[in-house]
Amino acid sequence: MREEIIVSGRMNPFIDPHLNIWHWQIPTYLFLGGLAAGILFFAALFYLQGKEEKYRTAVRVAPLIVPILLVLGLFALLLDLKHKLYFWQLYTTIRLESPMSWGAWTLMVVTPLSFIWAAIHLRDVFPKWDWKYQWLKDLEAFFIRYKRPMAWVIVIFSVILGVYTGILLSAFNARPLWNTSILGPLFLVSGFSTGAAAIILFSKNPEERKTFAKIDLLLIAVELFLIIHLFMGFLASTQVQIDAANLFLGGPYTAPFWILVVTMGLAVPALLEVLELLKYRIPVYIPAILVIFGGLMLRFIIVYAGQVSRWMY
Amino acid sequence: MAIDTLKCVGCGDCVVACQTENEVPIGFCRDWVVEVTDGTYPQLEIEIRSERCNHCENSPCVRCCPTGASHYAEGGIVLVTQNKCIGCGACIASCPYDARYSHPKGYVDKCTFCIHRVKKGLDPACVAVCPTRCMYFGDLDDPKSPVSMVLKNRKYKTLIPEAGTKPHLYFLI
Amino acid sequence: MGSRRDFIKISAVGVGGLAVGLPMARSLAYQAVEADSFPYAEMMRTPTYCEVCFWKCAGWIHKNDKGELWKITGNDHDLHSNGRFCPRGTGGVGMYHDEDRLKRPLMRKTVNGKQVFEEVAWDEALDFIARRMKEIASVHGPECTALFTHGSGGKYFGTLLRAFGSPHIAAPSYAQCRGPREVAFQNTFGEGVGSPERTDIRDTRCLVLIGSHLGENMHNGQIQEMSDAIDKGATIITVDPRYSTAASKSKYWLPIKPATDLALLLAWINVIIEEELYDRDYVERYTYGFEQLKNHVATMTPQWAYGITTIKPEVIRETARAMGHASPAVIVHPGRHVTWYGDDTQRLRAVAILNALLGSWGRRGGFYRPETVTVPEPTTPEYPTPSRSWRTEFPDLYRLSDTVLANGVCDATIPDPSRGCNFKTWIVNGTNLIETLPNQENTIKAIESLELMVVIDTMPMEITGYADVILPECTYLERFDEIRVSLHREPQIALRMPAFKPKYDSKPGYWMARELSKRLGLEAYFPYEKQEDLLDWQLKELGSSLEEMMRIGVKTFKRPYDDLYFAPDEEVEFWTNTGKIELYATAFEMEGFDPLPVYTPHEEPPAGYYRLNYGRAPMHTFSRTANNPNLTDLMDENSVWINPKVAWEWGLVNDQYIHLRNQDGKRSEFPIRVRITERIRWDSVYMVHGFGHDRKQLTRSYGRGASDTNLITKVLVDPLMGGTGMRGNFVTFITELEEDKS
Repeated sequence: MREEIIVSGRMNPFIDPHLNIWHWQIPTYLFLGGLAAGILFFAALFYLQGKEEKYRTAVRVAPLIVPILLVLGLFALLLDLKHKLYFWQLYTTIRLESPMSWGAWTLMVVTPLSFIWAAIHLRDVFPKWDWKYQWLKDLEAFFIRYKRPMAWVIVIFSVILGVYTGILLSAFNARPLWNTSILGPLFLVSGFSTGAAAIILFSKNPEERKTFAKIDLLLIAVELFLIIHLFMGFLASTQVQIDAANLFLGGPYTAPFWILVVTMGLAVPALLEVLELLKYRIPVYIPAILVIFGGLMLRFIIVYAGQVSRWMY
Repeated sequence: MAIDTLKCVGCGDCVVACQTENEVPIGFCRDWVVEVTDGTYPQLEIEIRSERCNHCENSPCVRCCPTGASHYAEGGIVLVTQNKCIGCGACIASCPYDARYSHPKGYVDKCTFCIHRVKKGLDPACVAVCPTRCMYFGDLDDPKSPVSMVLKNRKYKTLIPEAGTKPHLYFLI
Repeated sequence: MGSRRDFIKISAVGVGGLAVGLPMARSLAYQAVEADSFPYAEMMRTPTYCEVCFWKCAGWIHKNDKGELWKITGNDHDLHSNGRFCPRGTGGVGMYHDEDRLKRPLMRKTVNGKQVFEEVAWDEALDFIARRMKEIASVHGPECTALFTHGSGGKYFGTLLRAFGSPHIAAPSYAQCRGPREVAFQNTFGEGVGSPERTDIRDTRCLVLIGSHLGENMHNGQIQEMSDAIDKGATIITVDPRYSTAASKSKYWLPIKPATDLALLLAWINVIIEEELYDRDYVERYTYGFEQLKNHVATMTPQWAYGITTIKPEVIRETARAMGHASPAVIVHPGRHVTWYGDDTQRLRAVAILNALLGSWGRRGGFYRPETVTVPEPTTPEYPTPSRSWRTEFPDLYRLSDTVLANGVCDATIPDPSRGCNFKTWIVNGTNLIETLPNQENTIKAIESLELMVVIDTMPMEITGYADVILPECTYLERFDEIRVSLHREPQIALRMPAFKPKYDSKPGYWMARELSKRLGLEAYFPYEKQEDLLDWQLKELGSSLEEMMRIGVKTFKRPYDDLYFAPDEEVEFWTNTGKIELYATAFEMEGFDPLPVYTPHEEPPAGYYRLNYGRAPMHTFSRTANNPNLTDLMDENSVWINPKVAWEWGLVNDQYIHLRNQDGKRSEFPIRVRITERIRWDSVYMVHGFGHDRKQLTRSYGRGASDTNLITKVLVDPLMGGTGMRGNFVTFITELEEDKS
């Protein structure tokens, strides 16, 4: 028998008995960021493909909520900081080795762009909107002229936004559950999938909904594949990774993960969407909400379970 | 720093001395003592280790800090600049040794190898107080320093070398 | 004052509004005067010697830029600590900062039919004590006043007591701790082991620890020297049923069956004599009784011991040979807390005999000859001769003890028709008798028969709940005390001076003793009003001065007499009946006890019960430090160590909380956490002493862990000197926490 104990009474808040430095604020931000990334990506992508009229909601309507999502996300992040008054230090330097630094700067680019994109499409939802001041009207016209370059920037940065959250977690090799390069793509695909689901929710155009349902179905399939790959990777890796995987294979997080994320968040919506494509009548919002819920749960569980996984003691 | 596990009795003096010297708040600690017992009665073995931040050469905490508050100072000592720290907790999550903690004042804190004492030519508080004199501190690049001398003559190990952090805390076994 | 004495559990401050108001105002006045007159506030570091345990390491108290307490470090020239304090010493800052400290004098009063403690002014408290002492003495005689002490204040209260006319000063460290070994060594070598022990560990080639868990008991200097010995490749042999920290550093660990140590010692003596591993020259020159010893142990072979101790005969022989080959640089460590089974004096005699055979007494690597400094005392009148003492009243009891026994005083307080007198007054300073004396019920019964009980302490420990008057003592960081003299390789003195003025309304022991002496008409025994002046005079007599000592902290003198060790052909006279080292104890024979140790088997635990073993943790001292914030950070509760096989039988899991119940049905007051570990034998359990406090005022330690003293109801008294053996208790486990209290 091996007995390994700390005999000097260490009980540092947030560290012991196991790491719990990040609470609801972080998964909330990760979810909101992923959702925003998804919506923006599809908005810019379909605009660049010239399908602006065909997929009105995707390009013009859904992005209206993105600024709100991003502001809420940033607020959650601020709440998480323990030295809040110094948050501006983030913007005094770019540290290429720190994914958190990329994230800070990416948000610095994406948030204003999302505000601008939403602003120039305000009249789609509020037809009587009037900017009142001439300089604002000039600004709007200016941005509309540069919509194409903006869209390109948005495409690139929304991908970065979607993937960096996963890369950020996977860079922590101290938490074996996170330390896998699959986490980046997994979060990216999950973010895009929730974005597609949101677009389905807002859309009133059946053809748009059908397209996005197909996109979503594809993304869910990819996500399921990545999850299986994730576990295969863990179980074929070192002991600490095996222990991390066991958190979900009989450990305390087994039920929440497989029921809330995989079943309710991925398998069931996929099934419902297949049924829908086979012309069964399914209320369209059910799979969409389930997908969004699944995305939120995925991030919560990964963030909390990751802090339990460890190398020592 | 090198610590002789054959002499350490696990008294915790290093923990209290660090706490008073560095004014660490009660309820927090920068270093701690681990006791590992192997075997079945009466074939038993114990290893006692006084652990702290390893001041790694390839430290994940410096790498992941978004503001540069976590940095390498002179001699390879890893320090935190308190007024650059935003308290995001990334460094805490990135340390495989769980050596950092969130100070009540908001910034992240950890062992500093008592750099304020080292600058005056003194040993860190834990090394200076240890009653069994099992702790050695010094410049690894200087072959005559106490640390170099003792590493030359004894077998030693580091913690989780496979994590790739290249720690500078050696346990003599 | 009635004889019924309720243990006052509720909050200490009394309910009488006016009564509280007035004393507060007066004490504030006291403080206002003193605030301006603390002359040492500017000193950034002040010398002191630690008060946490009895080792009295000398060191420095450091202040930060704001003049607040920063840290405590050791004095590099101090022989006890060599500049390094142990965790309790370093954590002494917690003693100063602890807000649960006693703050103002408290007196027991009855308010609305209920007994409470009320804060009173010093004058009222001291007047009351003096008046009652005189009253009780006029009826029963001053000899019925007893002092229990385990702190530096004991010196002054001792002077007071002697001046008052009583010889009864008891330290629990005798009969509850090291008494048997002092008597055993005195009757072998003519002197006791002393405190700190005169073991030359740093130069030893073989250290035998039988009943010592060095490394968990934090005897600072000895642990430092053990580390040196390990560096030099010394062989360490540890005999312990538990795999202690010392055992983990030993070449040989003998996992002995509990209560059989004496058999092992006798077998070792047998082997050493049989194989002629003893120091022949030394034995011939200095010892008496070798032939009797040889005949006595002839039948006590390793095979015989194997059956009793479960230690294999080859191991017994191998370890005896290791000791013999290291002779004379070998130490069979006498341990410290040796009051185990009631035959402890005899067991320590075997240890002494073994040391004598190996020639370690007075030799390098064995036991050195310590030197001390005699500090001159100011001229005072002669102490009155007491008309009687415990010795005169109980001439046949514990004839080999030469000190007052704490448990003796306790027993003699309970009224008994066969006895002509009982103790009526107790003054208790710096010792928590409830946790120190075994058989708590007995102690409480004694206390209830007292007419006056005064407790002087820094913390509201359990003993304060029974007092009539509680006097708050300031911590060692806030007072002067007597000059520390070391019994060490070189004579050395150390100064303690205050770094801060006393917090709240607490006072130093010297002041309290002196104020009492004034009220008792005994101030002639305290000629100096200010302690500084007394110390300055004493230091000047020794060739130093207060000013010098404030700068340097310790001062070492040259050894005035003999060398540290016996010279090769030195004629040494030992203070025994024969003038030689008595392997055969003539004094024991005269008193009708065995002159050579004989093994007697002791009671074993019944089925389902396990022997209760207890010990120390290096970050705590007795029950004294359980509330210290810095030290509770390291360890805030104890656990009961249970062998995995036993745990499996009982279905226990790690970190579960259970109650313990002993063989007399006594249940532990608080539950204790289970630690399942291979380090403990399957027939015993182990816990660290000093937890399980039941005083709510001790906010950090109330209800944390369990108290082993709680469960020590069977006391095995040593007939030779009255030591209270405490390891004859067995416990079983109670897993349901909601059971009715038995």
